[in-house]
Amino acid sequence: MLKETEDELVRSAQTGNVAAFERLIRLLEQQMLAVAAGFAHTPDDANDIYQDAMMAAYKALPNFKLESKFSTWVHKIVVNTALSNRRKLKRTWQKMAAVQAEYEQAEQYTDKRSPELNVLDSELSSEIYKAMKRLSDTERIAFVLCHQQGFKLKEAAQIMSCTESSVKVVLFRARNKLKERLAEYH
Amino acid sequence: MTIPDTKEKQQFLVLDYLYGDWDDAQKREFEQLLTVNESLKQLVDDETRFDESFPVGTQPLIEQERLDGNRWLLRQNLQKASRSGFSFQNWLSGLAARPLSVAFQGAAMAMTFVLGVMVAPSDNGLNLQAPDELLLSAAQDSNSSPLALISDADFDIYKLKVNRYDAATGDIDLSFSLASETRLSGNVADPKINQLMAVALQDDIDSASRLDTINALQPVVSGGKVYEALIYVLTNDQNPGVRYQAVRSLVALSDKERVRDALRLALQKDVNSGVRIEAFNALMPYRDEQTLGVLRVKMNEDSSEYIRNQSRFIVEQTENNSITL
Repeated sequence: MLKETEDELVRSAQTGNVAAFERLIRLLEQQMLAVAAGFAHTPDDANDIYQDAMMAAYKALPNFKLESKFSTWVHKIVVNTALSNRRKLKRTWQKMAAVQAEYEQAEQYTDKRSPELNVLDSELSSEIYKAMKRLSDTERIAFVLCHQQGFKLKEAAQIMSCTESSVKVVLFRARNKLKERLAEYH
Repeated sequence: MTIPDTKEKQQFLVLDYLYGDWDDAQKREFEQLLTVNESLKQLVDDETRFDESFPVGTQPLIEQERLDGNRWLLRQNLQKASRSGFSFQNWLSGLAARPLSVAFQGAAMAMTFVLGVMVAPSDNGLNLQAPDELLLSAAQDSNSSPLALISDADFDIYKLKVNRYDAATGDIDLSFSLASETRLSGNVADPKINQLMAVALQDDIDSASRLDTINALQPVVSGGKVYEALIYVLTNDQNPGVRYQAVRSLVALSDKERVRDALRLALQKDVNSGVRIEAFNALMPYRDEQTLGVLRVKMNEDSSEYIRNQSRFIVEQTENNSITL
């Protein structure tokens, strides 16, 4: 989307235009849902995080300054929503996650950058899902943003509100934990 | 580019290579270094092997159906939010865009006001009450209103503004806002307190507060206003954690038809499988026609395998008359 068009849509959405806001997020929705899915316990949780985050973004839009990138700003909201939901409602989330884990299927993983949209072998997909759950919140955020979504270290640092060095530290830890967990696949 | 002396720094350099904002020239320079430094090369090889099994870009699959569902739900939520929200700034900018219409409406309002003053009987003129009198009468009208629990000492006046002042006559026109914060101590069984909490469940914007409120209301969950509030939360709250806690609180009251209606609605519409599963489990003992109707849909359409399988099992058993209704 052209920067001018995006700015125009942002200004329109800031006055309460729902259609303009929907158009703004249309291009990012799949990526943001995948980011939410990277953090969440189950696919349904991911949908909830996404919905909460988009409502928070809509409400906070009047405060958005056009100097920064809309996509970075909205990703930051997705990340913060996931974290604050988990912190505030930790015990309830744990109970809910236990119920869901008992009955639910995991997210399926796909290699987005391959020529065909390959769904990974279900065993590897399930192992990745389990391994991701072992990561701490910040490790998971750094890995989801940089490895899964292809954000550069600088952008990830902006989204995570920290320095590039901090991103590298947690990303390094995340990769090591995942390497250990997925050792038999590489 | 120089090769760092410690392994840790080398590892960070590898991360820069993999995820940093390097241009092609920087990448080529780094790859040159690999040919002369064995330990750095080993680190890169190690990371590359991992990337082969878990390539960059591997992420949860978001199918079109899921995307469409989220888009639809977000539209509903946005429309609800835009209806309930009123922005004074937007209102003013809307007015500014229609100066003629505003001028005409203003004139019409002024004429209506003048006409009203002319036809009104003189002994029935404007009877202005002081704000605290209005508040008291409001509080007296309804014991369950939160205003009934606020005393005069709890108010603060802020944003006092002198709109007009005539120094010659002393006439003055003021506007101000009232803010209040009240602390109550008592027992949750006290209807005044639990009804206040029931109202707060529907108004409080903080998810954690709503969750705490539901937990505190557990001993009095069967109270009329409380369970109505829980039903409201189950069917309207935006936060899945809060809805989940509400559904768990309502399980004990599932003998009430009103609660079962809410549980059926949650089973049908809630996007969170945890909430749906709790609603489903609470409805299991009640195999009436309305519930079976919902289960017939769920056995084919629910995203949760558990709900699909269990719904099918119950429906088939009921249809084979092997379950005593």
